[in-house]
Amino acid sequence: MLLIDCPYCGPRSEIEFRCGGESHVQRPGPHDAASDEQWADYLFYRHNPKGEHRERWLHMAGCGQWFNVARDTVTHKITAIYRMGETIDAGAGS
Amino acid sequence: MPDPQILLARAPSPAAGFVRPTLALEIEDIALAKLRVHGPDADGRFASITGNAPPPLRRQVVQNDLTFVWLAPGEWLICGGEEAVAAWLAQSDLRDDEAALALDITHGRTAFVLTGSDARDVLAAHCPLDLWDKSFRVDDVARSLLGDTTMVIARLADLDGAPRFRIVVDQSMAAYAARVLARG
Repeated sequence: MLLIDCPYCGPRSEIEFRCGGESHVQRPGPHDAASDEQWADYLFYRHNPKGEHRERWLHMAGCGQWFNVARDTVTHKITAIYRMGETIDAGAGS
Repeated sequence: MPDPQILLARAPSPAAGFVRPTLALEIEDIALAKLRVHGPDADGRFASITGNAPPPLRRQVVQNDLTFVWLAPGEWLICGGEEAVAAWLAQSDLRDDEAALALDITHGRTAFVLTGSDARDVLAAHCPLDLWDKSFRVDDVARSLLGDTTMVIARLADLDGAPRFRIVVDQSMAAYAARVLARG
């Protein structure tokens, strides 16, 4: 069980949250200039690293807000939590 | 002003309370409203609507006859007597406001008060929050899980040394929530 530090509600149990997959996925554009490969990559392909991964999480049973989590996919250690619209440097939380 | 011709159905809650020596569950006869404000300065907008500063994060404040409960950024629950909540809704009149919304949600929710020395133990069996004194003080609030449903929980002032919690759930889940709390 993870203890996730919601930026608004504080530390809460993992069962209150839903993981929304990889964060910082950029939509290609302008739309008429995006190739089929770029569009397919945007829709279907995601990184699957062994190590630090940036993810979107939703505090579904709490404040209902989305935020970003940097989590190690091997150890589950959370190294950084930051709000939507914010960025952190690679490995900044570790 | 709300249209007096439109009366929302306020059927009695299907849930039932109980009283035991160390635990009591009572259905609270209060009205509930929700205020939502969109945009970057939600707290400033709250102050201009209510005339008071918003409650701090994860806290509730009592102002006159109403309790303002923080739910999320830009989202508050307003609890109080039927007349006080109706008067507040009429006075705030946000019908033409594109960034703020105030709604009476009494008909869709059931409020309980859970009291007694066993209250924390019973809640601990069905809710992932730490509700002990050190981490959940009087007037702290949280939205969380209660079994398979969600709830808003607020700690009220203790009664005879025993903790007291206000628990608000969807009305359709009220009977389930009462059963869960009765089972312990």
